[in-house]
Amino acid sequence: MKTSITLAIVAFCAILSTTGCYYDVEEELYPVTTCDTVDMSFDTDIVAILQRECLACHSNAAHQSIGGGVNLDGYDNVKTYVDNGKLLSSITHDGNASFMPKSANNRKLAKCEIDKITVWINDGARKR
Amino acid sequence: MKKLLTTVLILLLTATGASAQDDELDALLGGSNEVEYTTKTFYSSRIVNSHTTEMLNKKTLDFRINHRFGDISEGYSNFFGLDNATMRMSFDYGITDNLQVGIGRSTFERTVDGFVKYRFLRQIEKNGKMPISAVYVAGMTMNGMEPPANRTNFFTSRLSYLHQAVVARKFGEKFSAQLMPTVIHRNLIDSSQYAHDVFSVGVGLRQKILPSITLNVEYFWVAPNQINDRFDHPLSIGIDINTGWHTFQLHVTNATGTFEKAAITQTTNSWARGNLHFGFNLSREFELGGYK
Repeated sequence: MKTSITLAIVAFCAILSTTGCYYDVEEELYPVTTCDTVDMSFDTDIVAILQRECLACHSNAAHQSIGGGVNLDGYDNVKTYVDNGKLLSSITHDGNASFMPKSANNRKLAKCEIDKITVWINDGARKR
Repeated sequence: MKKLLTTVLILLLTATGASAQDDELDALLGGSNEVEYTTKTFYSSRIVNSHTTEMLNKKTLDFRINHRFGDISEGYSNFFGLDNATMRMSFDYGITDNLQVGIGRSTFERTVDGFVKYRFLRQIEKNGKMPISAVYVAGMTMNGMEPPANRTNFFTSRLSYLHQAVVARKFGEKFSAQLMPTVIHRNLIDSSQYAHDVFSVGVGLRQKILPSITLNVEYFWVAPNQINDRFDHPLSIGIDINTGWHTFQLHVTNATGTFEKAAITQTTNSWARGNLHFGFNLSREFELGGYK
């Protein structure tokens, strides 16, 4: 009796843990639309992406504990990783830097966000 | 690697109750006929990241802290990785001797995870014939990262599931081996070129080297073309130090995640490139039903 109750609990949990299966694909759920990459600047365009995607781990407060010592808080700190190429390498996953972000289902940043950062760096990484 | 998997499988399947003759001798000498189960196939309910067939006793709470430090190859400037860490804190509880549940929280993707573990076969040492122990583990993880704000995000995209069988055998006093066929389902993947359901097979080995110390190895082979090829197979080598209610596990690993989904499908570092991490698991068990 005891065994059958236990088995029933296990079976219930097993069923429970499979009923929520979805087969979603990010590039199909969120297809890329138009992306404005004209006249990119840190203050207007880039800082918002960093805040949303990077600063949870790479802020002044968090970068030493969970951000691998990489600080992306503020223009001067970000510029260091623009100049040594690590920022672009990490978001494009080209293998020359630890890939970023370390987030849900191994995703990269949205293509538009990568394009904006790429154009911004190629145009000289302006602050304003 | 397939050879290693095959060898372990053959070892597990062909091993029969070698103690049968001992049992008969015992019976002749008037010994007890009570079934004696094999104990301490492994010292802990985890090898490194993966479950073992070890179960908590009924009404026992296991508080676990797992740490994986940064990349050892970063050298002295980051004190060989010790300046950075990911960690998982968890509570496992034995509902019965054969049924265990657990919940944990990791800094890796701010993940909350839970599992149910049921032992349906138990290796018998004396007065019975069962050459292996086997458990089934069903688990679920919830990614806690903030998704992009400029789109419709779904709660289900945060979830992934684990189904795992663990089959183990203790070969004598010193050596144990186990196989872990595993399926991990991810509700959301970034590209259709990868698989939602990731199939893998793990191998766990234990060799006792001192009375309270064992050498452990854990490896997962992931079937090809299921995950991005920049991810590597997780391999961990370490020791367990058992001091009764405590187990200390020290290891070197290429996996920074301390739960199955992270270790099996998201290990970015590699033994070949020398990007390894020092880590430890600390386990403290509390007998909530009163000490026996």
